[in-house]
Amino acid sequence: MNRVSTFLLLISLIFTGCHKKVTPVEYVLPDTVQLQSGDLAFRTGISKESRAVTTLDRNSIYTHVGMVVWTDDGWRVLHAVPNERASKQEEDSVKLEPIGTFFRSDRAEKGGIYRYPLTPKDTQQLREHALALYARHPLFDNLFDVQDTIAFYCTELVYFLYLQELQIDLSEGRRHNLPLYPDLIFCTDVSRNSKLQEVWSFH
Amino acid sequence: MKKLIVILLAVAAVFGMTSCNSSSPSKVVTSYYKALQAGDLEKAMTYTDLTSDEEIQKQIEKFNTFEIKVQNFEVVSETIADDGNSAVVEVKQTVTSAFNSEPKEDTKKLNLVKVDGKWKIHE
Repeated sequence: MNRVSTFLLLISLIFTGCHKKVTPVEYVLPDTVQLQSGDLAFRTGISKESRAVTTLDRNSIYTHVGMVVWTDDGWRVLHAVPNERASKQEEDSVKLEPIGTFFRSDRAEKGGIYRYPLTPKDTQQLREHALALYARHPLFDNLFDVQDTIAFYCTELVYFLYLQELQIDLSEGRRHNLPLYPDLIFCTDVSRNSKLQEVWSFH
Repeated sequence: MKKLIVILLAVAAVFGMTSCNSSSPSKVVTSYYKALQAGDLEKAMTYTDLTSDEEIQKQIEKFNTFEIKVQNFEVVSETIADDGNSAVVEVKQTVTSAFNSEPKEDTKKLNLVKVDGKWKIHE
């Protein structure tokens, strides 16, 4: 009988362990953080793309970026991300997500908000352009082509908005080269912008 | 004896023509992509103008880290500059990588330069 009990206990432990699932936690931004449209939200993810970026670019603190925008539903992050679709039928596209979801525990192990010095008029222009762009539901740029303006990858999106609206090159001309790809704007190419100031970060 | 010389000359001519073909920009690009398809990155690097071990290893690391793999390719066009020292080869490629959940198909223009009389892909 003892043997049977032990066996059953072991089996139940194994199955409990197998089914243990960690529920992702939405990040709660401290009340002290004062956001403004146009702020850049950076994060370092735990996906294989993120690992690849940090392996290759050891100076990189962050691997993904989006732009903070004020909407009727509150603060959101406009960002372009691959492999975060709700279903396989959907295509990767530009998303507008709550800040807490952007920094959710299964997506971000580090994060921060950074600000480029802008006038109120600049932030308003960026906000309007960002919302107008989102309304078109552009796709994620699988070709990683900075020249096109119909699909975007993460850094291309913030680079495009700042360049189009304010004639500011966030990347300051920096590019990364990957074989068989066009020249890419990596997160560090944007985060190294000398004018960016940290508003808040977590590690 | 005469026959033997004729045969040897014919063989030499065939080899000569083959080697000429293999050094055309399109042939070099084809060999490069075939090596990538086969996963032989070291061999693929021999078709590029990378020379130092450090540069070559860095490029190989990029392929490995980002899991960049060639599924299919097709040379679309070849343009050799008037001076004969540079060329552009256009390739229709299907590539998978850590960035793409699905294989991506696009057209890539590769620049080639002549190094010591041989075409090399400029990296």
